[in-house]
Amino acid sequence: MAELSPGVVRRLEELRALFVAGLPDRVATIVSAAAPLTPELGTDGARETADRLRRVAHQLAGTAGTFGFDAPGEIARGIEVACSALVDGAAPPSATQCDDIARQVRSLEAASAEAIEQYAATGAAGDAA
Amino acid sequence: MVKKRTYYVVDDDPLVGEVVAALLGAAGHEVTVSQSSVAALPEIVTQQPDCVIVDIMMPEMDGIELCRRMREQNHLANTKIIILSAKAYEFDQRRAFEFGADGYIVKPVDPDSFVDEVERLSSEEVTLTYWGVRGTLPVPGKKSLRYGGNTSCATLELPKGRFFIFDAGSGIKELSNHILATRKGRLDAQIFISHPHWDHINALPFFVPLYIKGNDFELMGPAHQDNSMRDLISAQMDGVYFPITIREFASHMHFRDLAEETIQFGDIEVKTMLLAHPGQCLGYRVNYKGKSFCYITDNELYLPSSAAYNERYVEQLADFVRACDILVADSTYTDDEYKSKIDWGHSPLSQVVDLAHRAEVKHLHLFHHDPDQNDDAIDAKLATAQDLLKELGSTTQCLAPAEGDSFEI
Repeated sequence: MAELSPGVVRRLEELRALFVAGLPDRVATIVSAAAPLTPELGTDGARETADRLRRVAHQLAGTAGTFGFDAPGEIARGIEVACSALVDGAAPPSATQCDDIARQVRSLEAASAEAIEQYAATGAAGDAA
Repeated sequence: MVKKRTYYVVDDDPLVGEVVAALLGAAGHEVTVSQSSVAALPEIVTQQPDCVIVDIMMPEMDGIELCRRMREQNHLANTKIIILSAKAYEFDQRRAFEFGADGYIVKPVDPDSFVDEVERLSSEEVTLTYWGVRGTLPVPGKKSLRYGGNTSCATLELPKGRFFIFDAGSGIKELSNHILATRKGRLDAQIFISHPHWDHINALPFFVPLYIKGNDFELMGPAHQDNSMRDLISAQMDGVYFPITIREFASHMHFRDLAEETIQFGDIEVKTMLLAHPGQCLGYRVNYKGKSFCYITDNELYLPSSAAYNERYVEQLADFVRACDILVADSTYTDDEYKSKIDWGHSPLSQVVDLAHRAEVKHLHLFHHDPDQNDDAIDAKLATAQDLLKELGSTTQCLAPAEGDSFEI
């Protein structure tokens, strides 16, 4: 494994800073996508909403870890998995399922805020130096 | 020095595209990035990059569909496709390969290993590496410093991340150390055992990747009567002869008994042939896109003057290894040493040379050296083999690889 050159390290840091700057918007998109998810939606509505939510959560899951923000990334992956059950399911979402997703979205908000604070204080992702 | 390649990256997250471009660009490659698979496809068709790196979950057209459409284009047949996705399920990986992907990397992108992983997956190279070239017993010490003292183990690294390990002599410990030091992420590999004599299996318990959850191994070799390969490997790790059992292997481990047969791994073909050695012993031939490699050990090629000489067997073996790029052959004894080792299951040098010449093998690699041969003796054996080939007017090139040597096929 070759060591990363100073130029590449600098560029990755620039990109990490961009990711941190954009993280609140990404989380807000997830919060907004999750908001309509209730048992009253019905099967088709839930499937559509969960699919939208799954896509944005999936994107965050893949990107957050790349920049060392493992905690928000893993929570986003959990949201993605929970949504997959609704997308693939044949029944309307239960209250438990909706509550579970809502809880995970709240965890994501908290973890992201903490990660941003950590980054502002130290310049590090917090999960990885 | 790694060959400069052209890459086309498709990911709807612009930051991922930028990270990949930064890493590959710094390694000297040319990179184009797109956030849209719909926009990317015509550009890929025009540019014909060496490799396309593509996410799966994207709006409009997902990465699997892009993969499928690329594989419909004949002139993109040589373009490698690597999926880069946060989807870690085996189902998604299988699906990607079914639709023509050559590799699959699970996000997040690890900046320390990403470029190596991509270069490995986008390479068409087949690399043979030796981890142990001795037979019978490991030979530590001053007399084996140049060729190494470990017993039989060799690896083939093939495209699409395929990794073949041949035998688990003590050289597999060196392989283990190397993998732990240089590879991140999961390891999927096929382990081909020629036969279950000690010098070909006894170091398997020291291959650390077997104990790492997430890794996946298929161990194959010849069964012996009622003893399957699983039984044979397990028997040497029974809690008495070795303190731990195969139940401690945390990786996903399959055992498979082989006869004389042909096995397909995608577009890689592996053929087997029973060899002349006590018990059941299999030789292997690997064919991939016109390249071929043969691993023929342990095997006794009798002298033509011997009552045990079997011309039919020699011709069958010659056909098996015919025109291969590299023949790794049991070359345990010089002809002089062999006089007192007849029926021991190993070959005298002259017959190995004859086989290689007869089969028009491109490169003969001497292997499985007797533990009593020091480095100088192996040098002399090599010189003898080269002289014999010259006398025959052969085009076969002969080497005696040392532990750690690598060759591109």
